Amino acid sequence: MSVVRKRILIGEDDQHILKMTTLRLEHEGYDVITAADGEEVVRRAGADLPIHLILLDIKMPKLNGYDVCRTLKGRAATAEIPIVVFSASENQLQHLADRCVEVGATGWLRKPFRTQELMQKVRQALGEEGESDG
Amino acid sequence: MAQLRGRSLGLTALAWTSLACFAVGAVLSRPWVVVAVMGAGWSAALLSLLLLRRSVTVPLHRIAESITAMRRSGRLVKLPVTQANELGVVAEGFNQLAGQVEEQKQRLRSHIIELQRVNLELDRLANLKDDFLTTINHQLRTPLTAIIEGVELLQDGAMGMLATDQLQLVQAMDRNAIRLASLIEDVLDLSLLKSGRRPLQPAPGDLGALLRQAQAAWQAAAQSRKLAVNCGELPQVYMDAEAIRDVMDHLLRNALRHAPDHSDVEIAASCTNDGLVEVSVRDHGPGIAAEGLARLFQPFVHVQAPEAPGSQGSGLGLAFCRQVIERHRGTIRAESAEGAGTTFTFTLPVASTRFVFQEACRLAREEAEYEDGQFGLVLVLPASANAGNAIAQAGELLRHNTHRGDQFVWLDSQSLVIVAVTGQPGLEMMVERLRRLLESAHLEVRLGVALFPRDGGDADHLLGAARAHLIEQRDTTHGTMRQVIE
Repeated sequence: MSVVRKRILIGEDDQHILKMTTLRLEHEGYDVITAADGEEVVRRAGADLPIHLILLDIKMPKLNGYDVCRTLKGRAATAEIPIVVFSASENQLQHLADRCVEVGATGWLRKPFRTQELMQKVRQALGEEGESDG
Repeated sequence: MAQLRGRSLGLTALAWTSLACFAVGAVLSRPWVVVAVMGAGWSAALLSLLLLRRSVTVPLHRIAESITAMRRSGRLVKLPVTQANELGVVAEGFNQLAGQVEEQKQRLRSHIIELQRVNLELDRLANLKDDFLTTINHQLRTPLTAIIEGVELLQDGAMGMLATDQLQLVQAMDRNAIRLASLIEDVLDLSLLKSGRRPLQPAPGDLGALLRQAQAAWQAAAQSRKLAVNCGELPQVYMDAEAIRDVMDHLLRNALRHAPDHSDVEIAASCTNDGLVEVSVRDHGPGIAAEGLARLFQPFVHVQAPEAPGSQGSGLGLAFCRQVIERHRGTIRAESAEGAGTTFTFTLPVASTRFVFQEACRLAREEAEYEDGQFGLVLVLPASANAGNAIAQAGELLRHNTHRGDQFVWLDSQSLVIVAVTGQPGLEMMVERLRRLLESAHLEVRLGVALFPRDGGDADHLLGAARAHLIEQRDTTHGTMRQVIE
C-alpha cells in the first residue's frame, strides 16, 4: 500500500454508526474525518482537501444526503470526489439507485449493510478493485 | 273514484225509493199517499246519501289523495283521522305503519352515516399502520447497522484477538443480527405488498434473462454448491419483473440454506400446454415431511431446520412468494419427501395478446367498480390495407399521449387497443382528443369504440363491438362521433 493514506469523509448523524464505520475504515488503512450533519459535510469537503471519498447518510439534519450530493457535484473543487450513499429509509433498492444516479452518487448501500458490502463499495469508488484485501 | 261510486250509490237508492212509492200508490190508488211516501222516501234517501258521503266518500278520497302525494314526493304524510269508524281505524293503522317506516328509515340513515364514518376511520388506520411500519423499519435499521458493524469489528479481530469462547459468542450475535435484519426486510416487503403500497405492474417480459441474472447474482453466495439454469427458448411472460426477481431471491436463498455442500441447485423453466410457463427451483437437501408441506406458505412457519445452524429465515419469504405469484394469476407449490430434496414450482402466464388484452379489461373492470362501473375501449386500425407504417407511428404517438392508468395493448402489428376506466362522456372526450392528435400528425387510421357494460360483458364482445363501431378518421366530425358512441 502507498505511503499516503487515502482520506475518507463520513457524513452520518448516528453517533454509533459513525464510530463503528470510522473504526472499520481506519482498521482497513484509511484516514477518516467525520461530520454529523449535511452542512458540516459540505463545509469539511471544501476545507479539508484532498478528500478521496465521501460516505453519506441520506437522513441528516440541516441538509439531507441528496442535497449534499447536489451541492458538492455543483462545485468545481468537490465535483470529482466519488460519493457512496447509505440509507435506511428507502424501501426498494431500485428507488434508492434511481435517486442516487439522479444526484450523481457513485454507489449506494441500504442499511443495515455488512462490512464486506461496505468495503466493496469503498474500494470500487476509490478505484482499488482487484487490489489486495488488506 | 270513491266519490263517483258514492254518487251512483245515492242515485240508485233514489231510483229504487221512487219505484217503491209508485208501486205503493198504484196498489192503494191514492195519489196523495204516493206523493207523501215519495217525499218521505226521497228525504230519507238524500239524508243517507249525505251521511254516506260524509262518512265514507270524503275520508276515502282524502286517503287516496294523501297516498298519491306520498307516491309523488316519496315522503310519508300523516292521514287525517276524523272518524271513529272502520275508516278511522284504517287511517290510524296506516299512520302507525308510516311512523314505523319513517323510524326505520331514520335508523338506516344513521347506520349508513356510522358506516361511512367507520370506513373513513379504517382508511385512516390503514394509512397509519403503513406509515408506522415504514417508520419503525427505519428506526430498527439504524441501530441494527451499528450492531452489525460492531460485531463484525470484534469478529475480525480488529479490536484485538478474541479467545475461542468469546469468538463463538460474537459469531452467534452476528448470525442473530443478520437474522433480525432479514426479518425486518421481509415484514416490510410483505406488508407493502398486502397493503397495495407496492402495486404490481405486470408487462410482457423476458423470464429466461431474469432467471440467468438470478443465477449469476447468487452463484457467489452458493460457495461450493452449483447453481444451474436449464431453460430453452421461452415466450414472453406477463410479469412484474422486480417482484418476480424478489420471488427468485427468496426461493434461491431458501434452497441454498438447505442444500448440502457440493450439491446442485437447479433452476428450470418450460412452457405448459395451457398458456403458462412453469419455473422450478430444486435442491437436494433433507426435504420436508408431508405435514410440513401443507403449512409451508403460511407466515412465520419454519418446517425445515437449515443446513447451517442459525441461518434460519424470517418465515415470511414463502408467504411473500405466494402473494406475488397469485397476484400474477399463477400458482406456487412445493414437492418434497424426507431425504429427497425439495422442488418449488410456480407458474406465470404467457404474455399472449389475448391474455394481455383480457387482463387489461379485467383490471379496468375491477377498477371501474370504484367508479360508476364503466370502462371504454378505443381500437386503432389502419385506414386502408396499404397504410404502410401508419399504425406503428400512431402507436408511438398515442403511447405518449394516453393518460396515466390507461392500458395500451398491441393486438398485432396492425391493430392496438387503449383500455380506459371512464364512462361515456369521458370516452367521447378521449376519442375526440385522440382523433385530433392523429389528424394533426396526418396519420390515416380508423378508430373504433366500445363501452362496458353497454356494448358487451367481456373482452371479446367489447372488441367485436369496437370493430362494429368503426369511425372513418378523415370524415369524422364531432357530430357523427357522438352519434356512433350514443
